[in-house]
Amino acid sequence: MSDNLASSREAWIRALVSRITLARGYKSALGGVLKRLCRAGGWSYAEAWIPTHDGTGLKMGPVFARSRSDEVGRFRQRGRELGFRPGQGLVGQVFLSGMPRWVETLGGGENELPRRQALARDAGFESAAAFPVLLNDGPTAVLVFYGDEARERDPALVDKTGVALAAVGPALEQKRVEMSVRAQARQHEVVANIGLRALDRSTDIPSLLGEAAALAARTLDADAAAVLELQKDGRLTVRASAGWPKEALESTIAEPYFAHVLAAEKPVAVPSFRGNGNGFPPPSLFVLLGARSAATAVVPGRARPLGLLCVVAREPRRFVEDAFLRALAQVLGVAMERDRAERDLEHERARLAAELEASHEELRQADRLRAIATLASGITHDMNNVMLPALCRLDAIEAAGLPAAAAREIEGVRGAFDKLRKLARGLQLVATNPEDGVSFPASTRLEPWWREIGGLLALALRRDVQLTAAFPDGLPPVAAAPPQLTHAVLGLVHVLGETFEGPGRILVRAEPDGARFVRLSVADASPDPHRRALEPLEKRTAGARSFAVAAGGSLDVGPNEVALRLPVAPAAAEPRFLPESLPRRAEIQLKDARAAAFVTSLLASAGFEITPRDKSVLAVWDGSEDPAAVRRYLSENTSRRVLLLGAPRSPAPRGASIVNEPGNLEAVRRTLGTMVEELLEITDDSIRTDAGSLRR
Amino acid sequence: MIRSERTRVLCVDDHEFLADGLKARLALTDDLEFVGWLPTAEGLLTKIKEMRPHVVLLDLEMPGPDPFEAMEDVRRRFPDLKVLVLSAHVRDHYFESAVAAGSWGYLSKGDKPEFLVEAIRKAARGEFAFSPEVEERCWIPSRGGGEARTSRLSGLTNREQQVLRLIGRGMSRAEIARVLHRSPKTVDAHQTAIMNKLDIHDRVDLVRYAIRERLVEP
Repeated sequence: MSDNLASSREAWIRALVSRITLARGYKSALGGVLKRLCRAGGWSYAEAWIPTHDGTGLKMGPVFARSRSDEVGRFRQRGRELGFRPGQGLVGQVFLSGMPRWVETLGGGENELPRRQALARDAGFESAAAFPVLLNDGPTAVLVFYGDEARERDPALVDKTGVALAAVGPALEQKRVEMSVRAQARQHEVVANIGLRALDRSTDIPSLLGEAAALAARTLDADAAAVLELQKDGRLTVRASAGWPKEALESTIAEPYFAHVLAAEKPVAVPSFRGNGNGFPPPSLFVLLGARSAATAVVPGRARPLGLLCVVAREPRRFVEDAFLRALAQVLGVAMERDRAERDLEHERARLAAELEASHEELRQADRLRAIATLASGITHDMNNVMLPALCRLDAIEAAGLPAAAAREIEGVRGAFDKLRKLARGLQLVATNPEDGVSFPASTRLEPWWREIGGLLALALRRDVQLTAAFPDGLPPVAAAPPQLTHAVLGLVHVLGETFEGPGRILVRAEPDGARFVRLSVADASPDPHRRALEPLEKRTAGARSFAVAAGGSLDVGPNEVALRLPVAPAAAEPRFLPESLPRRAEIQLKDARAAAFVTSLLASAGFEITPRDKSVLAVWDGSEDPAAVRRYLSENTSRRVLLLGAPRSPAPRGASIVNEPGNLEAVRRTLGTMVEELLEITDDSIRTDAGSLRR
Repeated sequence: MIRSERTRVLCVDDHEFLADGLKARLALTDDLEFVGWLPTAEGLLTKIKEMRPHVVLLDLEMPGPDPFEAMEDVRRRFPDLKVLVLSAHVRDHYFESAVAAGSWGYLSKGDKPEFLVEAIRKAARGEFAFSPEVEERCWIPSRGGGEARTSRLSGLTNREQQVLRLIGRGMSRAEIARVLHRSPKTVDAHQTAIMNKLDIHDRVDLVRYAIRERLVEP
């Protein structure tokens, strides 16, 4: 080699190295080398093969082609789909041996040609040469050149190319390392950036998650990435993604791969879901992507994992960026934790707002009902004030001796007054505010209750909305006081009636619901039931719901029906009087005439007969009664009870009830009430045994 | 007690037409005599002295003096006279206060006239008379939803309950003092005691409380 020639080659190699140094990346540096060697060697096409990420094979890198024909384009495309393990094919053999190889002609039987060379011949190439890019510890890439014509081995070209590649190899490797360092720096930057923004309260978390997925895919040169959120029920939903098909939105932790990832402490990479891989079938979320390999890290939360960060590739690949994935997943954990807390807060806020709205609605309804009750109270008051004197006058007119025709008319007027009285009784139920201190039985028999109140409730509806009822015979009483029940049903009838846009019919129906409940429903029974949203009924029935729950039942709301489920009243809730088998006889011996009259009247209203002492089961005496007489009375029969009004003589007789202030008739009433309750609890058996003598 | 003379009945009600109706109805009987009418409890004692009734029918919701207070006065001055409450409303608290004040019965204006006539006869005989509506409630042991408030109210003395009722009717301390024949200072003392017992420290809230408890009709 002449000095000039040597000098020219050195200049050419320096220029190559210089271009490598200035190149933006490893692949563009390699592409530049490839192009120059291709032209310098008189080749038509050149391709570089570089080790895969996991180092198990070679995949096609940069390509240079002088021709842009379709055949060459297809040849290049097919190359992208191929891979060579060391020793396999021309590329693998050169990579394994570290020695160049020259193929003078690609001709010959098809079966004898390696696949890539057969494809090259199909693309119109006739010769090829492959060179390793060498470093001290072996090849780092293989460059393959193709020519349009058969070409004898050119030792000078082989030498020149070998020398050039030996010279640029370190520069290329330096570039590769530099790019690797840059990639790591980029990864750190990504993690730091996402992390800082995750801590910033003004950051929109959903956008940040989307950005993180895109950065993960780009940084790891993956085909797609996704942030999956782990729901409480074990579902995994795609929260944010990049390159992900819209159809793949949900999976579950039951998928073997995800279950494995959640149990593992570090990211789990699967080089290939097919073949041996890690033995995992591809999760359904990956199938739609055509993913062949993936790496997944757990997004940690304070108490439990919040989700998964997945990157996937459509080719078999070993993702080795564990540290990056884990770090990114951790900062995503911060973001998702905050996001979840904000969503929980928002959910709680919405719940509280709904609760507040319901309580406001309940208050509004209560106010409305209170206003109606006050109005009804005033009307009842005036009706009674008018009815009583009117009926008195009718009596007077009748007593005056009227002709038969006039008497019949008077009878008609009395009938009208009876109806008015019924209306007043119904109004009284509406007028009684449930919060008033007015005692009512804690149970209601629905059929008679409806007879009193039904006509009145119909007045709460527009004229074109009919109110009908269906109460089967033999319904047990429900455990609710009539005024409260009236207010609840009035509210429901009114609310449902307001949802009617035209004429219609409301049916109030009661039916047994098992042995322990009665279902009282208020339903749209129009021939063509109205379409209505559930929400207004839900909202505006809060008062009825409170009533039902307080009574021990519930309220069901449907699109066309609202139903109170009320417990059957226990027998004790019914107004009770002493059983027939117990003789209702009482003796009253009181000096205070008013107290005696009061007690007599009370006991008479409970069916008691005032009798001599020896026949009685209950005695109401002055406190001054001889204690021995009290003891004797009680000892004669265990069913007997004694009430003493006024401080008893000493020693106070045991077993007697005492009201110290005889004038406190309210205390007397309450004590007597308790005593009669006690008598009611006496069983029939004991009555037969103990009270037998009293009956005789 | 068998009375040889006719039972004389005085009606105290702010509705004159009601009193007239009762008068017409009692006129149909041989044993009852309507002797007079008052629109309020004002001057009741004088009227009783003048008309000498055996039975007084007393409404509870009238303008003027507190009817419960009037009942107590009648009981003190005329122990043999029987006062029957005749009200358009049957409320537990009215009933309890009426019995405490000395009434001999509680009748509803929703009762039939013949029932009222019989009730007057019973009272005249020295028997208690309750409307069926009242009678039914007498035997209900539980006091329903108003229990807590009832117990707070029951912590007040009769006099304090009277003062509270009058406050609820919007009367000033001077007016209350005049009605109760007490000094304004005594009324103040009652009011302070009521406020302490009910833990209500504003007069407007006392009025609200009295209305809410139906001590007075709004």
